Amino acid sequence: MRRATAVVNGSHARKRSPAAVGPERLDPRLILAAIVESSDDAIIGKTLQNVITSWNAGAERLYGYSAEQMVGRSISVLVPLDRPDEINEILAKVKTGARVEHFETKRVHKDGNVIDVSLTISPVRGADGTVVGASLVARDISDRKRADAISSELAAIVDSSDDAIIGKTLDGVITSWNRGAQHLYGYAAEEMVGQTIALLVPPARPHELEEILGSLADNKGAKHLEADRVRKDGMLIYVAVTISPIHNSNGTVVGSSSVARDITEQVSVRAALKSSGLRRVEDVIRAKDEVIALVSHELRSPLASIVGFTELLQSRVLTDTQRKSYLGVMLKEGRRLTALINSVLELQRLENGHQKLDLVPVDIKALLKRAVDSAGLDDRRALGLAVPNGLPLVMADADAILQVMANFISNARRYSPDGGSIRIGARVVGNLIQVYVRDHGLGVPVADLPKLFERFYRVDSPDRQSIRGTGLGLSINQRIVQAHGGAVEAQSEGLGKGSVFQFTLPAVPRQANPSEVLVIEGDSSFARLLEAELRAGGLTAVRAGDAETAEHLLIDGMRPRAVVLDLALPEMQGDEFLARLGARIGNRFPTIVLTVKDLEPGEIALLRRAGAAAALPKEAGATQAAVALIVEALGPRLSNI
Amino acid sequence: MPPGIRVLKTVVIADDEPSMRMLVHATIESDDYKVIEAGDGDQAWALIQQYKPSLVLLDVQMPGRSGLEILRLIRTHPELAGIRVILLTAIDREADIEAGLMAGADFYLTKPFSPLDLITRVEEALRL
Repeated sequence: MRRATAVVNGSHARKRSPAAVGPERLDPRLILAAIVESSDDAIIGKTLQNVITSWNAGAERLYGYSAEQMVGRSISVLVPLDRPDEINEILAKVKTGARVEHFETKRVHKDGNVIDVSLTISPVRGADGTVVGASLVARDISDRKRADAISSELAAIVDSSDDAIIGKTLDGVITSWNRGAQHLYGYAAEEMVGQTIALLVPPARPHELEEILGSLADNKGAKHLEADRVRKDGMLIYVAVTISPIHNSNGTVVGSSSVARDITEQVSVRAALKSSGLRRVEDVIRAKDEVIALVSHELRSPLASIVGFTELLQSRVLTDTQRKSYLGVMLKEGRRLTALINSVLELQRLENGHQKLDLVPVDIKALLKRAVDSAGLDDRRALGLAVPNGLPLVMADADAILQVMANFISNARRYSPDGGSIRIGARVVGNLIQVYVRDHGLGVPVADLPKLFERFYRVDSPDRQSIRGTGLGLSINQRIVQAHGGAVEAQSEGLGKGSVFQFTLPAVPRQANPSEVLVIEGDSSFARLLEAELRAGGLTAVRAGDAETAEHLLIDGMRPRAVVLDLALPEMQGDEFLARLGARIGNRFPTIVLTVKDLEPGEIALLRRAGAAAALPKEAGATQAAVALIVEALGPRLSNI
Repeated sequence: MPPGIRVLKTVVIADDEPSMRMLVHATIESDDYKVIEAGDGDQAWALIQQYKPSLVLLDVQMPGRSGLEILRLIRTHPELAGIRVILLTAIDREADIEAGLMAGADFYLTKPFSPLDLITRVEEALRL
């Protein structure tokens, strides 16, 4: 900011007027006059009556009046009407010999516009030292005032923003830190201004900042990125940041400003969606809309029939045949509606994890047979079972797997409109049992295979547009199988080539052949008798001498077909062990309790409640009785061997 | 026209739901109307060309040719001018209703609808 002040004693000459040529011609008054004339500021001389005595070029530019127009006039012509006493107040001060400095006020330009000015008024003294007038220097500060207003508005915007707005130098030293930044990162402005922005970057990635700051200096424009940052409390958050270069008036980059927003929640939702098979938030929203549309459509159609036929029945005279026919349709549609609603709710329950499964060791061959039986007969789409004997047991909820099979079988049938056999099989794959359902129907285009298990996904192909369905069956199946710890898969060579749907279930790990009985007996000779008897009955025995060993075997994965337990084991509470046994492998296995002592009826009842199938006294014939009971209990399952 | 002879108006109902076709059939079939059923868009188009019905009831969501496609076909074939069309739909989104009416449908019915409404609309349409 340059100032040329008219000071009586000499000065800083900015321009030499052409009048001053050689040293002998230097008249101080001429020099002064030159200074005054060349000053950018308005320099005005006035009498103590506020009459203008001098008016420089700067004053002409500032106020619009020429010197001729102003010299001899009162300076009050420049003063806005809202401050009539101002110049007199100023004058009063100056009369006392004081200076009024940098007084910011408004004056009126010749064209009527009001301008903001900063005034400095100094007394002019006569030869005798008394104040005889005043000199006034005025500068237009409109631009500055406007800039101030803008910058305070900007400052207010920055400060009130929810986003974190941070200014930094090219080296990453923080120069400004708004309230949003404090809220986001936990540090107050005082703590951060002057510190390096690297404080926020997780230790694992120190170079990220250098790269960004480097590319900013290259003036590559604003950068958008998502990154993790560390808060003051050590918590890791994800932010979306926009970093922009700050230029000075020459255009060089002197620093950067960043605006950051917390996206931690969105990132974790994204991650959750990814793991649940949906790619983006948009997918979720789109899927939801489609679901609503599809469900709405599927629900209204059967409803329309029910409502419509009800009205006809109410309002018309009908024949018996007609009435029967309408009622039949209503019932069918009502059931269809119920099934649909149940499917949707089922799927919701599965999705939300509310489904409770009762996992127990299950014979998969027997289960698949049940599934085939309940599917009923369809001559054109006969079901064939190809399950070998001797498969390991699977840990499964029998009813849930039956539902899975029902869905697969129903699909196989519906998508074999021209008939065709359907084959159901199972095999061991590693430590899993894989069940498959193969049909020779419409098949699935290879591109659709990955999406097949998505909710409501239907293959869009002319050959199957008239096939009804909700598109939920496969989703439900996937959910159920996954809850078992298994996986579903679909295979097809393409349209018209049929398909195979398979799913895996964890096998119950086994060490020996399928018909082992766990004998928990401390007395080895008795145990040997028992084992011999079991062998005679087609069963093998695995012996544990005490409860701990038995538990250990069970922990290792043994799943006996039956248990024979001697109550008189050291440190053994029969009912307690039974309860633990039941908790570990379920209570579907006959457990025969043998005991030397006579049991009170109350004790027998207690054992029963804990899961014992029978309590036998350890006397002659006990082993035969025990084995007989076991063979009877295992009966139908044993015949599969 | 000689007395005792009555000309029945032909109505084609195109909907992939058998129970819906049955409902429409039961509602409309009478001394005045003869109802012909179509189970999908292609069948509907074939029957429309064959019978040139007075009125077509079109389900919007059908496999094969959709109701809107059939509607456009009807409206762009001069020999089928004069066929009245009522669209049936389970979706009552305004955008869809507008699209249907803009494509030339005379009326729009949302399922579930009352058979009484259906008859009223049918009669209104045939009076147009």
